[in-house]
Amino acid sequence: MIARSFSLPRTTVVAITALVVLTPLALIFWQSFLNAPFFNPQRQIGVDAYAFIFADGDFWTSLFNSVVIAAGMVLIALPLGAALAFLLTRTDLPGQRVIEVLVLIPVFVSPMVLAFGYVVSMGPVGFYSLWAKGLVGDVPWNVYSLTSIAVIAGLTHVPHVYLYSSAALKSLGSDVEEAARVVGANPLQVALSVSLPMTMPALLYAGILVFFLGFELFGLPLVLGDPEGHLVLSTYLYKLTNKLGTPSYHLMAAVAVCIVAITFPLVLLQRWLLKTAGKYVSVKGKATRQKLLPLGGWKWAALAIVALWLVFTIVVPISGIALRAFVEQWGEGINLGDVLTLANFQQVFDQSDQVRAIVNTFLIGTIGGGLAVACYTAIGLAGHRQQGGIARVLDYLVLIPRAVPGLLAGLAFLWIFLFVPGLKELRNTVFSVWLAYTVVWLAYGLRLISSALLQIGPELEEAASTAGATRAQVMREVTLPLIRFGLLASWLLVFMIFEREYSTGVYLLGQGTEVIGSMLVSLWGAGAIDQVAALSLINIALVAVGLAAALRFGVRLHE
Amino acid sequence: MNKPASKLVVDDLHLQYGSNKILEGVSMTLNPGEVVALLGASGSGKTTLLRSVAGLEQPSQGRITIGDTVLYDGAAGVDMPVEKRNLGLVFQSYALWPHRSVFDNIAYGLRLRGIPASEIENRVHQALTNLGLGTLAARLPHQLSGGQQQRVAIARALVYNPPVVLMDEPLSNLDAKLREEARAWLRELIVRLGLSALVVTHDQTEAMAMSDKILLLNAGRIEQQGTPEDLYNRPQTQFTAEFMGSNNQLSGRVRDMADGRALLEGEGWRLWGAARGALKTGDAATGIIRLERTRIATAAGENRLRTELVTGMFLGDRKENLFKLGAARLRCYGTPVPDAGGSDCYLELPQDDFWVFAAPAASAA
Repeated sequence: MIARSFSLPRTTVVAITALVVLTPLALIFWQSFLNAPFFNPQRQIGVDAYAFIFADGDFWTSLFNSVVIAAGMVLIALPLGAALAFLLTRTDLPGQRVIEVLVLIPVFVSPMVLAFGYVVSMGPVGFYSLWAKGLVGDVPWNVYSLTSIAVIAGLTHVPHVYLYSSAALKSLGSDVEEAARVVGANPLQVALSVSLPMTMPALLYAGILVFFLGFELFGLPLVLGDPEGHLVLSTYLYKLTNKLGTPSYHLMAAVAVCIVAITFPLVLLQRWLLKTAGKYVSVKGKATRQKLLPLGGWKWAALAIVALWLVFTIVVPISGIALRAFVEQWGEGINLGDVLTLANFQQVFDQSDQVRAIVNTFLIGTIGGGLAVACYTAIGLAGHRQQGGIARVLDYLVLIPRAVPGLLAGLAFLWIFLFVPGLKELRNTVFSVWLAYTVVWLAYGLRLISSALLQIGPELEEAASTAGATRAQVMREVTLPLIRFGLLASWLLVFMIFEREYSTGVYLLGQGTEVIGSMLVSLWGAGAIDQVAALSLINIALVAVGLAAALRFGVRLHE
Repeated sequence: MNKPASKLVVDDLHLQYGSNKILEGVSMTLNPGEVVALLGASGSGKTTLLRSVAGLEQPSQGRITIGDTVLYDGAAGVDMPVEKRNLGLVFQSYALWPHRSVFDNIAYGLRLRGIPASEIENRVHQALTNLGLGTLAARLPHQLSGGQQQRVAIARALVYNPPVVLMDEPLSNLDAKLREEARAWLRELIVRLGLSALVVTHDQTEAMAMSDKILLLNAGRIEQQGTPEDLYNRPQTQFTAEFMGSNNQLSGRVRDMADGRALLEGEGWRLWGAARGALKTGDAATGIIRLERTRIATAAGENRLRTELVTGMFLGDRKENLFKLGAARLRCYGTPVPDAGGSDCYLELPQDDFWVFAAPAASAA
């Protein structure tokens, strides 16, 4: 369908999107150039905030730590993710179907929960640490060091790389590889001289993704970095409030602008890569049935490495949480049989705010997820088969929230709800959290919708137009019915993502707006380990329900 | 089905994507009850022209009208939306809506026109009967064979009696065997229902078989238009001559001209042929003759060539032979008669059937 001029509903959708995306960012930007909170009548425009943080040694230390962690993540996640993708798409590794599902679990488990899991299982008195101590006489690791944080972050981001490289490998026809075999290359040479170069754009893309996710990291460094005082940019921002004792919004905004100044160019770079990637893989080859590379005796070694990774990233933290949720306390010399209890859950259900957190989390995932998918669909349809102006505006609008870490977005929305007249009443409702979640995950959600829309051949819509259907009728009667399964799948995925989300709600946390994610951050800060363990387990259970439903309905777990 | 007798007129249509010109001034008419084929190689602009008529592409200038209705007028800024044009379009991929039954696929256009349910029922069943789809109304598209899907797509485009039916490569999705039968069936349907149709195809045989008039497109311009006989028997350009039918080609230089005939000379041969276009003595030129007009001769004579038989190919209903004349290759049907014991044969290229075209300007020097 050709781009037709102006249409009212479409313009409205784009205008609303622009409003909710740009307002928070603009507010952060403006706030960063004030010398006091923007609602303070004595505020003045200036660069005091930047002067302050640039003079603060902690800022530079945390910037350095962020760079180290992000780089470490790339170094770990990129080769492992690529190797995993190759093993799972190109070889006869046993148990592929199970592994394919397990691999994605770290994506859907909250990093806050994972971090907590590592503390209780591998911290100085963690379950596995004490067990190891019993065996070798000492705990052979320290999860609180900067290296450990980078290693854990790297290993838990392997799935991100895996997703992009396996998609690239799957779309790469086996004929180009077979051609190399015929010419005389052995399997390893094929992998290195054909498969790897042809998936390079995807790997590069995934590398940049992991790098900027490294800058947005919050839960892991918050929990694991605390004991030894390792700060990263996001935790530095989070702790600024305590530092001065007063709400130092202008300082937080300045740090936020610094973070966005790093992440936004990375997002643009990614986008540019994605555009040029098409040129690299112009010759895709025919997607014939893949002939799997026999691993022979190596298959067990490969399986062992994959299993080891799965144990470390999934089994260790989650088993730790599960165990910790059912014990009163834990430490050296405690016998597991003596401390088993259900009291932790009892405590959670006795506290009205924690019960509300569970209910809110469930509602925000189900109803909120559905509403978010409806919004994403409206935006997706507004840009559907559009060229030129509007489509380009939407493209960039969607990119912006990607570059803004959830913590910052939550902060900006807090300000908006506090000080925009008419919205104040909604501040203490879960609507404020929902709006922030929906904006933060805009790019993700829209990618789900547009991949569903991409499945529809344009001629199906053109056929309806020539038969006499208006644009609105085409959407209602052809486009929407055709993507309905895609929409359901998106709803499930958004449900899981919303259950998992924690950082966006941190600043919005208040009476009525509790969600498990932000509650965990707050309880962790207060040292309520028992309740953190119980809530974490409940959170994992909620995600597991979504995951089970997704598997049951055959939903692809990534776009 | 009776249709308002209105004529489709496309006048000087231009269309470009960025700086890439797709159509460069195409004009054509389609009279009521007529079938016009848009023929051309891929990239010639034939599908773009069809889609422009449908309103699915955005021309940059020109005019498209049906009767008194202006569909598009670049100068007046008129661009009627697709859904208002009331045309039928059969897509190359058929584009049946997978979530609707055969009945609902066909009925959709009628529902959009607010026709009462009972009449919709009648008309859809009428269409199903017309297309030999009687019992398939409740099926979903994926439960149909390729040929049945094609018929549903046609029924869907015809059911609301559009003044013109547009078909984009309607037969290309069928396999070769089925295609010939479908071609005859489609022609019969068009004649029986008295349809006005604009059909895009890249296959010259299909174009000749199905249409009353052919528009041959080349790089966004009309190379030649006329009846199938015109294009096949009286090509005005070398492009048309080459595009239609199977041909032998000989390149050489014009040595003599005499009352509409040209003497073409190559390495070791000279032939008289019918001069096409502006030719003068000394010009580089190409001679073209249809395979079936090339004859096997038994002895030397006027307009005959002495050639070496390379090989023969058995095609079932006839035999095709390959001959060598210096660097050139010639093909001819029939049983070769080699010259006393050797492998040399004589081929006759009748003067009237051997068309001599001036070589394109670039290679004339």
